[in-house]
Amino acid sequence: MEAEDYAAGCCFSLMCQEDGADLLGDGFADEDGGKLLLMYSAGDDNDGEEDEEGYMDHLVSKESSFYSADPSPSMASEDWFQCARRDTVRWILETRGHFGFCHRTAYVAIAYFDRFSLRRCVDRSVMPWAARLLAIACVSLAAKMDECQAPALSEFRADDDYDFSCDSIRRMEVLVLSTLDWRMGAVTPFDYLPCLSSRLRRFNGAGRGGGGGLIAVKAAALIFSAAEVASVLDYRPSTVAAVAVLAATHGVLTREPLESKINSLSPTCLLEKEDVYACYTMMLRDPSSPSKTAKRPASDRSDGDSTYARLDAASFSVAAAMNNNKRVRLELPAVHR
Amino acid sequence: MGDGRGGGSNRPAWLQQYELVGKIGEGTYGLVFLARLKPTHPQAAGRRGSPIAIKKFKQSKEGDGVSPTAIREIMLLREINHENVVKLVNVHINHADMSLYLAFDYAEHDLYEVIRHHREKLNLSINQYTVKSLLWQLLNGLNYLHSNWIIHRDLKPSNILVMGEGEEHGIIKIADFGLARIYQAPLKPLSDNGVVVTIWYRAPELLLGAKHYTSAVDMWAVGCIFAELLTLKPLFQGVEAKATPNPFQLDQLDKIFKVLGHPTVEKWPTLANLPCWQNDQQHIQGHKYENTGLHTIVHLPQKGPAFDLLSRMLEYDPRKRITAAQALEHEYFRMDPLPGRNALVPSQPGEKIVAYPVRPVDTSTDFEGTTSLQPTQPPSGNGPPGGQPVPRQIPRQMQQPMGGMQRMPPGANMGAFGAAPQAGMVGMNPGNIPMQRGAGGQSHPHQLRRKADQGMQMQNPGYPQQKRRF
Repeated sequence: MEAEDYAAGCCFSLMCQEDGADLLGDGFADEDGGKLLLMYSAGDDNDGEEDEEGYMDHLVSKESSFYSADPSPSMASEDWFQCARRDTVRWILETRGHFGFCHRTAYVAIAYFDRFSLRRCVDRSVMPWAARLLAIACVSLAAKMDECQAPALSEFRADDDYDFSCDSIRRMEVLVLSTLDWRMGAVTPFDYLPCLSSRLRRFNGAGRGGGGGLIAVKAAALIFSAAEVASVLDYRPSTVAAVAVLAATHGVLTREPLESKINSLSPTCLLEKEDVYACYTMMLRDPSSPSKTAKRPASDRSDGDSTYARLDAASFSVAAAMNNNKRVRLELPAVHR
Repeated sequence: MGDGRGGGSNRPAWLQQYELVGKIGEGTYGLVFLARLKPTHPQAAGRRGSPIAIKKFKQSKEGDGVSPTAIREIMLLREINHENVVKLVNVHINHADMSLYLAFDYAEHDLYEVIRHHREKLNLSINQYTVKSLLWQLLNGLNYLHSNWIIHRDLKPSNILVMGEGEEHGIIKIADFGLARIYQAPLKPLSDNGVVVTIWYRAPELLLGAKHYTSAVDMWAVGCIFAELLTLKPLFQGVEAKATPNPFQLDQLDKIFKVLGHPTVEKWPTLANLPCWQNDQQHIQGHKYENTGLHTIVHLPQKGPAFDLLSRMLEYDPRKRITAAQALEHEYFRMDPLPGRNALVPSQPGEKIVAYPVRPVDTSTDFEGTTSLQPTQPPSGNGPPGGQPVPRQIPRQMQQPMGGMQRMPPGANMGAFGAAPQAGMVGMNPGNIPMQRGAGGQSHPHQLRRKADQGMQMQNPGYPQQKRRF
């Protein structure tokens, strides 16, 4: 089966209409003759490659602080949460398309959502609107971090099922910022794509052509389809990126060729084979099939856990409920614990 | 609780942990206050009365939510941990108006004031030991930032703080990360931020329209600051053309070319690709600049190591410009006088110790930024290091260095402070997450592969042969 089928089969048709310009760092192509390089070079011509590798090493060393080795709280394994999460991820991806954000911005927003969900329980009683409010805050924050121009909060109100006040969104932003401890930097699989793609080109001896861009677009679709299925904190971003690039290039591989290709693609990343295979399997799973339970075993929820605050109906006062059938106006006061 | 008020006062409870001294800075971002920790402050143990600088971000419009500048600055500060870089001590949120306050340890001096004191009050150049120590520490902090793929983008004397008397006396802290960017973020033109940045320290490639910042832009600024430490005057004092969003700054380029001569494509091959070089040929390329010589301005022997280092920092081609790591290894720092940890106090016997003035404090302004008719506090008992009385007026006109540019809040790096939980702040911080230095600051074990041979040290300040000095 060809990789195209996977890319086409995933739910983001808008992916395929794009040129993936933000994926290979082409947006960064600069007049100074550099490429995605922020560090200067001392003169010789190999510096581009060396910088890229140095940058990749930096990312790998940094990513461990963003992916979670802790077991997910039980919320993640409950069906209603899985549902709400999938809806949220889809909404984030649609919103990315709507505003024309980079792929990375959407991924960062999803990562904020997943990190938030690790630290706070969003009560079922406030679903689905609390998830939407959270999603808006995550996208807004991700855009503020990564986009040149972040939309005004009011722009998130248009064309939607809910009507959140700007103040509610702002308060949710603050809640996300403090819940994530203001650690808003993130390493994503998209940060690895330019480097992995050029490694692949060197490795396969392929010309620059359109192939790299196409692979990157496919890889992006696969990365998002994986993000839809499970928390983006479950796998290292470097693993996700490497797996996505291989899956986009080769389609379905059995385990052994997969491992050998991974090793040649990513010699400096310490990729765990079990992780790679699990990630690969998850990524190429038919997204329409019923979701399996979360990768990690659920632990019993303890409501008194001091690090795990709850968001429930009492935290949100629904001030002017039900303007019409669908639109709910929400006020979010400071959240108590 | 959630409204951020408490205890019979209009002030949020967290604010009542601080004793306000007064306002010490103001800019487009907001206000900076000097405060002291009250003994009731949960972090006050052993630090009673410690001076704290509190930076209050201007309230963003409700429709914009939390300001992107604040988010980026705090995010960067949370990941940074180095002796020569300011350290964020706390983030407070006033839920009543959703305003943000950042708490830093207080630094009494900055290079702008140090230079000004020598130029206007002492009429005396800064001694060699101090210049070298300041420069070395600045490079040390910058090397740390660059190794972490952070570009400061706004280095200038007023953003480089120097600690006053105490445990960290004479130690440099790089401050103001409002414009700093970490690798992934798209790099936008400076003018987009709505922040006025002085052009005097701006690298020629930016003035010629390069769209992408490299860490070399910071090294150009260091070169300008080095020269200013030597001469007490800004090296390239161009007049900014403010009307245009165009990065092209003719007067600033003119000032640079007059000193360093005309850049050529032979020496700077990518020059021809810069947008303004092509677009504005008639302005610059038509001009003939005589090389007046940097050495005559900075009064350094052309063959000496100090001049060599300076000219490598002011190299036109950003790809050839010396890196912070390389600069730290330069011969200049291996010669007497060797750089030391306390830049303000030379270890040479007989050297005069300069008593730098303390920062002026406007004691008539409260935390909300409103001015009261009567000062609420007497001037702090924070005398100048040399015991020399420094006249203070109340209220006093705030200094506005560099054409209205803001002064940045001081900060510092006192370990125990950052890790303490904020027990007294429940309800102020929605997540109530104690600010802790975590993985972010220590998660870079591999990043230096390529630079390992350049003598990088992450944490140990590693003053060259400092045993001889102390």
